[in-house]
Amino acid sequence: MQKIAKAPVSRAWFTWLVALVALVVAVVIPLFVKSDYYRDILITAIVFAVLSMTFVMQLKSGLISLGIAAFWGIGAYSAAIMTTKMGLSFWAALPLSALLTAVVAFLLGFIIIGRGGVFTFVILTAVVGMLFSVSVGASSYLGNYAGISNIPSPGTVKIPGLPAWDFLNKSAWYYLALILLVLVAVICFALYKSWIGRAWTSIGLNTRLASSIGVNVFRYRLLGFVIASGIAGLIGAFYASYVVNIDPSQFSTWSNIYLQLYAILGGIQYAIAGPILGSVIMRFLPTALSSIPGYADLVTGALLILFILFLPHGLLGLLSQGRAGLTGLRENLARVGRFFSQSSERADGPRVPDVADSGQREPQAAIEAPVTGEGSAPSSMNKADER
Amino acid sequence: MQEGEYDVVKASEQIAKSQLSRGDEMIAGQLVFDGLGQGLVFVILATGLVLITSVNKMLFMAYGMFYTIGAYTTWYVTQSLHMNYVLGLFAAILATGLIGVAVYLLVFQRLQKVEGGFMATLIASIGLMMMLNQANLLVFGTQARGIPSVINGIVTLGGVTMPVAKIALIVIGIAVCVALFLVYEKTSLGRSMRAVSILPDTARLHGINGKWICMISLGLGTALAGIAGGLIAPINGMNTDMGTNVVWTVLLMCMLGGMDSLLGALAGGLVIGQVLSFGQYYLQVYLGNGALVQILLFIIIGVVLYFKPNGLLGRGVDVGV
Amino acid sequence: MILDVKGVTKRYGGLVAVDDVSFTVDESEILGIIGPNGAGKSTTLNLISGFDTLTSGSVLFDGRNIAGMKAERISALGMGRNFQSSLLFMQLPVIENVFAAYHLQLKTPAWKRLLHLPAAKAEEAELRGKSGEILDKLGLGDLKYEITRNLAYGHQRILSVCIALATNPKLLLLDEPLTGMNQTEIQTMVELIKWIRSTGITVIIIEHNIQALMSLCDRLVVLDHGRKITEGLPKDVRTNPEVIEAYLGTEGD
Repeated sequence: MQKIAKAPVSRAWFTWLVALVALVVAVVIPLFVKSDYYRDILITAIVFAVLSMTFVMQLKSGLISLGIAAFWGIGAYSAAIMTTKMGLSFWAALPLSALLTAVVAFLLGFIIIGRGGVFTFVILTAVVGMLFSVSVGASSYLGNYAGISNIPSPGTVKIPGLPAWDFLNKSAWYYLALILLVLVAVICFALYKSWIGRAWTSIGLNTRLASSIGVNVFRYRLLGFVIASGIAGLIGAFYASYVVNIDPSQFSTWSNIYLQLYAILGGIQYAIAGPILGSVIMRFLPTALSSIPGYADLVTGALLILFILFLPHGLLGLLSQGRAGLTGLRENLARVGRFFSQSSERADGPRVPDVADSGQREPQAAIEAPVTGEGSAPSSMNKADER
Repeated sequence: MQEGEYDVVKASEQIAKSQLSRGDEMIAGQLVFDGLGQGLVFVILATGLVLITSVNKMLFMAYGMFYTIGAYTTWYVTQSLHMNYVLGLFAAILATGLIGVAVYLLVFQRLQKVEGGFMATLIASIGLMMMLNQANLLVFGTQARGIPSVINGIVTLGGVTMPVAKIALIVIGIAVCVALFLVYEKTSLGRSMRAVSILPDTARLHGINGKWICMISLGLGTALAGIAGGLIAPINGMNTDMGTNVVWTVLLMCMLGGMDSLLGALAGGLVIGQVLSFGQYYLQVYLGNGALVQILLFIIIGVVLYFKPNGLLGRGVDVGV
Repeated sequence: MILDVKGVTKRYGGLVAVDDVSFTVDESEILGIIGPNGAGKSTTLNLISGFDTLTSGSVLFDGRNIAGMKAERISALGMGRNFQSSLLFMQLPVIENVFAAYHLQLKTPAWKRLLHLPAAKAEEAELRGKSGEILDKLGLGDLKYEITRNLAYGHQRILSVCIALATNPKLLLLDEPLTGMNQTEIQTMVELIKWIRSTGITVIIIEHNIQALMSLCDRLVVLDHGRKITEGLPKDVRTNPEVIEAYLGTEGD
């Protein structure tokens, strides 16, 4: 007889506390970090954190996107064109670019998501990325491969009671980025806790079952795709003005890899905190290690592989499971040891579900995390999505 | 897409120069020939990728790197070690095949078993792609290289210029494809591969060692990419981006033909070879921009996929999502 | 008549899995579909519920032709089903599995739900409560917060039915709900199905366990090799020589 599982105790208050502390820290950091170099790293970390969050958003409904950089680029280029050639202000270009990107995503979504499913999606998003580079490079209106330069910054913003925001100063950019980050985080949070988030999770966990309970898989996937792309476009518009000069090489398909890395590093089940943590760590790490030139890619690739093999729940997963998480790690290291000392293994192959259980899969957990007591049992479907 | 660009642009320049003395049929003939040459390399690449995908049920993003490694290994063996070209090809096959097998044993066999494995293998292959990319730069340097053509001479038939080297490429390409098809259809290995790709669990019940088959198919697939790289090396040269440049086109080609259909890879490769050849020429002539052919390709494939989401001949890869 | 299946056929290339199958189902009936392995029972169910596309024929659900409609739409129209393989959200607690099925029944306007206004939260709480009630009623009350993955097989199958019930269906399709269960569990499930019918839901069951269906079903439809060979009252079907032939014939192969 199974023992009765109690209703899990909500640890939401703890998460909110941590979030609050993090926010306070984030707000006061510029007072301690005065160097432009480090401020720049912070700002780009935020940009990539947001992009990584859009990756995770699509991941929830099973869509692994290799084309986020393209939508980031569409947002950036839209804003650039709007501010340089159409004379719009930065503040107008920001939401308009996001909207434009979302519309493009909506139109492309019909082919990309369509009836092909996840496999086609991965490839086609990569193709979109490639197309973006080629299209922009071929267009002289968009500056070909040289790109667009001298994108104007927003004018000085005066909020009564606060010091004026002069965008010649990096701290102004930082606060703007922070506001955007919080905005995106709030949007994500509201979505994930709503029926939309639950629909996404159900699609991601078991597409067939989701269909049978009335979830329109295509529509919800398209919705996630559009919202995620819109957010990518939004941060792209910010990015364009921040870096002043943009060119297609900055938005190459290659950069998608980093987005995925940050998400996995943090832990893909932590849709908001994970990407932020991963991004901050990875963007500061090279300076901390004073990078050995020429080995960056090697390290990045190795990290990706190592994490997916041994720490699929990311660092946050490790933290939240505490000792249990370490056990999982130790188990896996032991498994590796056994592999090298053994000569034969049982016949096995790709674990493709047969017709009978088609549709079932664990969300992105390469190794089963031991389910222990109250700490790990989610108090609601979206506990894992809380910070 | 640099190799193709180099080749077809050169061809189209030749054509443009002698346009006054040639009729449209001859241009078409030239384009068909060039498309064939390109196409065969693509066919080999596509076949390798389809083999890996259909048996292992994963999207092996690192595939393009083996093309690069194959080319550079051939270069190294022929130019630095001064051995003959055929040995260079063998070295390429060996190197790429062994890396494929090693990578399977170390990384992918463990990720496949797990639910959520599709994403895990995808991410791992992306990581591998990065590592191989850097490794290639570190080992072979960053220079674009070339190998002097092994066979010289040009044959002109009916106004179509056919370098013998390219004819040789086409012949070898066809030979490789035929060999592969024979293995796939006639040998027990091939039968096992087909079994695992269609019904992996049932195949296991029949005593087929899934792990071995997956390992072999990955090694074979990467070796195919390697040989493709070695074959193209004397004709188009090589550069460090060739893998990444070509992998998108190959992926699209496989999607077009069907990700789990070898025949589809063949058809897709040939079709895309021709589309690129004709498309690049006519777009260059009429719109002044040959690179737009990639967009044309995407549109065509988008349309095909809309009506046949699994490709023309495919049955759909069940990745369990 | 709640369901009218007319001449439904499914061809896979050269193989005919379901061949011109027709039957009707009346409200609040319990209809059983039986037949030897490979008879096409599950395929027929998939065709009716939109998980497979018909080659030809029509399916009228409440008078409306649902052939070709997507599964989610058919579900929205009031047809619920479970799956032979117990498709469940394994990583989620049991109650969340059921709660998910209330997806289509959320009535608070979308904007209120997105802003997480009290009205929306109240509705959520109410539906969670209902999920708990269904689980209680079907005997899984104690396991509400257990992670589904940890459930015993029999309980998982019951949960599967709970999920289907939560979609508030008019017609419930059950695909081999009794497989792998012991006698007690079968008894429970049979009582459950009777109770479901008593609430006004029509039930179609596919089962191998004909014994259990004898007392449960109002009528039986027998399929063999994709064709319907007979239908009628359980006691008549049981002694029908064609039916016996179909089952024995398969065993003799």
